Amino acid sequence: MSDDAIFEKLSQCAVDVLQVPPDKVVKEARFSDDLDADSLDLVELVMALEEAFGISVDESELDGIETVGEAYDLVKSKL
Amino acid sequence: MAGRNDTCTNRTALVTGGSRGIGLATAIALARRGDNVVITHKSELPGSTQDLINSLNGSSSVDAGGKPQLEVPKASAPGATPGTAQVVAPGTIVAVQCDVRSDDDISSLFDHVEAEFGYASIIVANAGIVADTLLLRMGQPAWDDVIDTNLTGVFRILKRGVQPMVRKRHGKVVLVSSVAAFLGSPGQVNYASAKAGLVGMGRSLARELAGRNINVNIVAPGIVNTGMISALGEAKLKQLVGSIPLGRMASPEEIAHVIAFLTSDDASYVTGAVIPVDGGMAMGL
Repeated sequence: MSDDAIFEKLSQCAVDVLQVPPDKVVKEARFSDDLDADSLDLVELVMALEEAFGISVDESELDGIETVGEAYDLVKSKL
Repeated sequence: MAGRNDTCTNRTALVTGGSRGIGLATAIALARRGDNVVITHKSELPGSTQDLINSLNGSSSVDAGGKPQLEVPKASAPGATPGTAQVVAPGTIVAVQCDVRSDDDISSLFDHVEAEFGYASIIVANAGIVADTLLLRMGQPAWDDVIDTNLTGVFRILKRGVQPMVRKRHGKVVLVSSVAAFLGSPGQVNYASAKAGLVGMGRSLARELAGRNINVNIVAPGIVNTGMISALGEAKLKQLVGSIPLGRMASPEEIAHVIAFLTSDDASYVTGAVIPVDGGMAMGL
C-alpha cells in the first residue's frame, strides 16, 4: 500500500470516528486539541484502525501518540 | 413524553441468565413493552420457560391461552394513562445458550444478536450463581466460579456488548447486584464480593460512557422469590424476611419493573445509580 493510500485510509477512519471534516485531518493535527477527541474517541479510533488495516495495536504502543502523523507512523510500521 | 415513544420502538435487549427468576421476569417485561429480547442460559432451557416463550411469541395478546404464565401486569408501560391503553406489539424472545465464562460463547452470542436484530441497545447483566459456604470452608473453586461468572462474566459481556452502543451513541446497561453487597451475608463471601464489585464496575462504566449517551445503573435486589433462595433453608429465610421492613420477599416481577424503568427513556437522567429493590432491607447503606 502506498504512503498516500495509507494516509487516505487512516484519514477516513478519523473522519468517521471523530466526526471531523477531512481537511482538519492533517499530520500536524493533535487529537486532543485540534480534533477535539477524548480518550474514548481515541480508543474507538484505534479499534477502527485495527479493523481497517488488519493490525493489532498494544496499549503500550499508544503512549506518546498525540498527533495524526504519529498515528500514521505507528500504522505504517505495522504493515 | 419520551417514555411514550419509547415503548413503541422495536429495540433489542440482551438479558443474561434469562431462563428463570429475575432474568426471565425482566425478559417478559421488556418483550411486553415491545422490545425484542435475547436471553442467555447456561444450562438446558427449562421446559416451562420454553413453553412460556413459545406462548408469548405466538400470541400478540396478553392471554397466553392457558399456558403457564408469569404475572407481569400490562400497565408497566411508562407514561400510559388509564383508559388510553395503547397497543404495543410485543417483541420476540429468543433464547441462546451462553456461558458467560466463555469468550467463544460470548462472541457467538453477539454474532447471533447482531445477525438477527442489529445490535442490543439494552444489556441487563443478570447471570449469576451461588456457591455458599463459610470462608473457612470455602475452597478456591467456589471462590473462582462465583467471581468468574458473577463479576468477570459481566466484564466479558460488557466489553463486547458496549462496542456497538458506543458507535451508535445510545445504550442502557443495568447490572444486577444484590443487597448482599451492602449488608454482607454469612456464607457468601464470594457472592457478596462479586456483587459489590459490580457497583464499582457500573459506576466506573457510567463515567466512561456518559459522553456517549449510555446510561449504566445498578439494581440491588433483596430477597427475591426465585430458585436461588432455596439454598438458604427455611429457618434462615424466615429470619431474613423478618428483617425486611415490607415483611415479605420480592417477586421477580418487582425487580423486573425497576429494570424496565431503568432501561426506558423515562430514566434518561439516571446513570451510575444504585437502586435498592429490597423492601427496605438495606436502607441507608
